[in-house]
Amino acid sequence: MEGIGKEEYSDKILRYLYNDMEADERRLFEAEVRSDPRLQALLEEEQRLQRLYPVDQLPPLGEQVVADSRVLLRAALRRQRRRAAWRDWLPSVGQLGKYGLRLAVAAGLVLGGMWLGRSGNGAASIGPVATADPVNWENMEIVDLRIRPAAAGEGVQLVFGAVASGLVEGPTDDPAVRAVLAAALEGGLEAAPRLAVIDLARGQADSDQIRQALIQVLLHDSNPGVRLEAIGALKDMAHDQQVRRALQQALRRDLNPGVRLEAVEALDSWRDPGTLAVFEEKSRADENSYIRFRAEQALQQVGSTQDEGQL
Amino acid sequence: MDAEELTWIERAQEGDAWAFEQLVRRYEQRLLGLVCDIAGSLEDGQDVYQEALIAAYRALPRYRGESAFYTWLYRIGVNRALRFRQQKRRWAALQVEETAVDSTGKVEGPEEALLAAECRQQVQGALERASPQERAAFALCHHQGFKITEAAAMMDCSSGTVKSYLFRARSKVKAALAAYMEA
Repeated sequence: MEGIGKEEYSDKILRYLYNDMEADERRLFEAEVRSDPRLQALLEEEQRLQRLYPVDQLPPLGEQVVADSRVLLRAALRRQRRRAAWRDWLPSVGQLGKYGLRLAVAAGLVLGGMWLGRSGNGAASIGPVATADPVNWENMEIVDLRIRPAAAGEGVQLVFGAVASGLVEGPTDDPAVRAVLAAALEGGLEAAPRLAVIDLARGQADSDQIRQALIQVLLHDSNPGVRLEAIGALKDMAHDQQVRRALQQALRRDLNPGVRLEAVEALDSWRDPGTLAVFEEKSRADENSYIRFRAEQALQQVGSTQDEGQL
Repeated sequence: MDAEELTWIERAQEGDAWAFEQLVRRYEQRLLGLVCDIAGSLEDGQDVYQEALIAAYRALPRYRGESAFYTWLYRIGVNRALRFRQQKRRWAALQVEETAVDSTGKVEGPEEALLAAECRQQVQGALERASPQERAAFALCHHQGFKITEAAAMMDCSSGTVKSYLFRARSKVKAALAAYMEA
């Protein structure tokens, strides 16, 4: 054992402590420890740290933190997709100079449309697809064509929406139908079709995809009527922590009192700490007296029951 | 790598952001925890985590399955967090911050909880004084329970190098906890 340096001891001890030894090697090491007091002392010193501050004992992050990160990630991915659409477009613009006037006219094509039409609040769900590359026009419908002089001075610039048609048929719980509904909720539909989609999505909130989309609508849609409908579609899923958190956020932050009131109603039977904290805040500080009253009423009901969770 | 994960990967490689969200969901809690741990605070960790996942989403078409997906994903997370940490060291004097561990709901007895909280605070203080690599090695092996070989794959270095970082980090932690260890 005298030939073994401290460095080799450390190497073995670390591998032993962090489970990086095969079973046989582990047994051999344990035998070596029993017969080598110096190694035993070193291991004991390291094990004191393991006992005081054990491996893998850092408590996991709270659900709310993780849920917040999901919302942030989704928003970041959407921004990313918009940027990617623009990046795809830019190289084709850069090549315009090579092909003279005719191609310059063709390259003036700017597909300013969105896959699913225009957004009600002016924000695109997917970035503009702009290209001079061949497009399968047979499967596209041109809408909202505007003709302008080309920026370069010669030729024309055509600005339009290019809409592809699709058909999905099946029961509302069919994955393909759900996928289209979720995409439509997150897309740029006008308010009226958005409401119709939410109506179809009602009862589908057990699907993660639909639920996520409805949460996005509740937290980010510009139309209060649509947000109100989203609460209606989500309230039966309030046992899901993420849904409940979205409802709490709506109650806390939504500018529309109708939406906040609907959120109070949806959370009315819940008594978890997060919901109670929002009720407490709202009972004191909401600008709407009826919401203050309803929040206060919900808190008073807590006094009559000791149960946490749902009443 | 199971069949479902493979399907999500293929779809995400084609630009399906929803598939990417599903793909990372099974690792998000631990990865976010790790990144916050290395970054040093929940707030910074969230930013670094988002940045890392967007980088992963953009790099995913180039992922060829040479390593397990989670190793690949963690490598990006660790790299981003290390880069952040290195910049932070350059920018400002280090300060001990309340970290993500305080946002959790772990239930302990009052004395145990107090001792654990004190230890965590001491460890955080010690890790603030460690190099970004030492901090990352400790976060991976000690906080996350990865084997040294796994940590090496995630830090993109040899096992020997991880052991060296880990040894130095442990020395700093032991010095910080000396009073508790003797007691």
